[in-house]
Amino acid sequence: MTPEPAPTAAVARYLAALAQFALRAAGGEVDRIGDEAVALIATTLGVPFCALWEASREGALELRASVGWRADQRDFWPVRPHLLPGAALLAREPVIVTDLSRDPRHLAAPLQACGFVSGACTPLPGNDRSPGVLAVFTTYWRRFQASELQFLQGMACVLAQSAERRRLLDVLRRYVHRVGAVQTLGREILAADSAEALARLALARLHRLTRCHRASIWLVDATDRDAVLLATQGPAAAGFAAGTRRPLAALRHFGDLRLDQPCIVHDLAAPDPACPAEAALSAEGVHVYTQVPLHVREQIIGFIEVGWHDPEAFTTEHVDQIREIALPLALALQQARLHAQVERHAAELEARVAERTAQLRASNAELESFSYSVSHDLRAPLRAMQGFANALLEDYADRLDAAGQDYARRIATAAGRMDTLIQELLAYSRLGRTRITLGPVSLAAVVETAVAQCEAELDRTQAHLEVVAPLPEVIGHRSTLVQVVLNLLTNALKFVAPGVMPRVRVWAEPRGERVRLWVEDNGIGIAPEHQGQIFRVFERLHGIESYPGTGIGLAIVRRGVERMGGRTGVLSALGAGSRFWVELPRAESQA
Amino acid sequence: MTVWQPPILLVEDDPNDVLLIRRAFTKARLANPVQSVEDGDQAVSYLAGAGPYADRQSYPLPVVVLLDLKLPRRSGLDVLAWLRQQEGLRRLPVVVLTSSRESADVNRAYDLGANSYLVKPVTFDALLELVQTLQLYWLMLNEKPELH
Repeated sequence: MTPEPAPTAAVARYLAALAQFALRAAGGEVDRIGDEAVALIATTLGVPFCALWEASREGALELRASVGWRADQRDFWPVRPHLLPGAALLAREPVIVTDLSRDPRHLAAPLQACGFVSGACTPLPGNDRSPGVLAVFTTYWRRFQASELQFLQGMACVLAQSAERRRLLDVLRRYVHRVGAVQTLGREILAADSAEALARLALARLHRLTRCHRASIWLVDATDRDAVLLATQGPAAAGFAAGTRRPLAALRHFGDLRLDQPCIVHDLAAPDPACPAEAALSAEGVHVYTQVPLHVREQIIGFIEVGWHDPEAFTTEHVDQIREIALPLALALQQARLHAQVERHAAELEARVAERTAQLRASNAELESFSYSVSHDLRAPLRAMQGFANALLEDYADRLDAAGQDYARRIATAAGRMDTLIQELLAYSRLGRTRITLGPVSLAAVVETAVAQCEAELDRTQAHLEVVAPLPEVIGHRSTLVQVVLNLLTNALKFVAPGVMPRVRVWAEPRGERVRLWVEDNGIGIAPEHQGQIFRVFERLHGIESYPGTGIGLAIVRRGVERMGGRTGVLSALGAGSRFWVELPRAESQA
Repeated sequence: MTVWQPPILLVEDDPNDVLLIRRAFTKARLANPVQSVEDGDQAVSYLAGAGPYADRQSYPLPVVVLLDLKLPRRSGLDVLAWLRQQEGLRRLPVVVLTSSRESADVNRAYDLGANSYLVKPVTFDALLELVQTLQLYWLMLNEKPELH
């Protein structure tokens, strides 16, 4: 039978419909592409029945889209050589049947039951297997033309391409999802504060991604002999309590794991009786399991174990997913381990600091009680010495000769000097241990107070004192600062050459954020080589006879200023007077 | 004719200090007699008129108490705390006379109600000056409170 030449107009119509459909499908504009395709084919070819089947892996054809089919005609169609759509799929080429009842190639009972007389089928093209079949049927006798079959084939091509496109898109979407999952995990890992929290996060994600029955994280312990269960996800079961130990040697594929290779065991029907892992997994009905190593710098620190009940649920893609999670998880677990170590060290250090602080506090309290008894008990005998020497001089002067009176006077003077010494030492030590609160202090008021306190000395020495305004506010401690200035003033009044009237000048010099208070004298001066030592306790440059004193006054100045966060120093030359300075932070209001 | 003067109670454990203070009082021609006790318990007994001090004729209530802080048995601060709790005695002026100038002692003494805080001077001249000032201020200028 020679096919009738197709009318050119019809071919042009087919081509136009096909091209338009292909364009729309390629542009991704078609939502329900199967439905549109069968509708278009039915209209274009003028057939009452059109169907698109999808071929499943189990060897069945599932109706995806159709025109004209009734509900009872939709039963699935087995792929068999004697059934038209199946025959086309198996032959991987189009089949045309003009009269189903007469065609010996097909036992077309189901088709005839539908009342079909003529039909044409074409498989959807595919790489290794055809993904489905496209078919048209009529309930009347019709000879399908070559051009009509070509149109049908063209539509099949477009559908196959679209399906392939969709499959690729799906793969891409899954991959993007996986990458997203790993990224999310990475973010969550950063927020997790313990290895357990990390493990739980990773397991929850794994469980969602792989739909497994059981997922666990095991860590290699310090002895390098056992794996210890860190965390697991799945129903409570024997052998899966946190902290459970399994010998590494009993793992069936530990050698692979050590080399950073995941292992997959497909059939757990016959579990290795020597392997507790397999026994436990098999006991809860797991048929397929994989173990993926956790590696950090070529070192195995543990592994992820995932098991499935259904062998079909497992794919190698799952192993890839687990490996993707294993990489950041291993690093994070190692990080958490190191972090815990650091925290342990920090805690130890803190405990040691607390211990030392307690010791210091105890010794400080001891020092305080020591200085208390010094201030109280040491001075009592001094008062007696001084008082009774004085009583001797006053009440028994007539019975003492000049030498006797001189001795009594010396006792009194020495006792007095020792008392001053004790008082100043106490003041010095008090500066070191009492807590002082810093605040704004008016230098003008401080200098005024200090001057008032050495009024007697100023009168006695007939000194000329000049205080230059303005004296700004500084940050300090008022009474400490008064003591500092007082000591500087008495120092200036004391160390003058015999017969010289002391001239003392006090002024302030702003120095950026700080203020320097100067105390200048016309005294004997200090040689440069001695300027470093005068601020130390008990340092005296002169004999007690020429310049009486304890050698503590300037040490008090330095310690007091340092306690207030300031600095102190001196500019001087021998015989040319001295300029002492103390420098303190300027108070905010003055800035 | 001597007018009767209430005594000054000196609470001091150091016999040297007692002697020197008594001497200073004599030098200052103090009209008030000085009664001295040597520990905190005795001070409390005296002020309460208990035990050997039951006879108020021989041991009258003082016009002022000079109180050392570091005492055997009951400390000066304990005596002060006790005194300020006594209904009839709480207004009695107490001048702390001690050798400590530690701020903790000073503040604690004022917290407990000391009227004044003086540090024992080492030189006798200074002690004399202190006693004269005491006499002027606490015995002559100061208005005495009512005691029972």
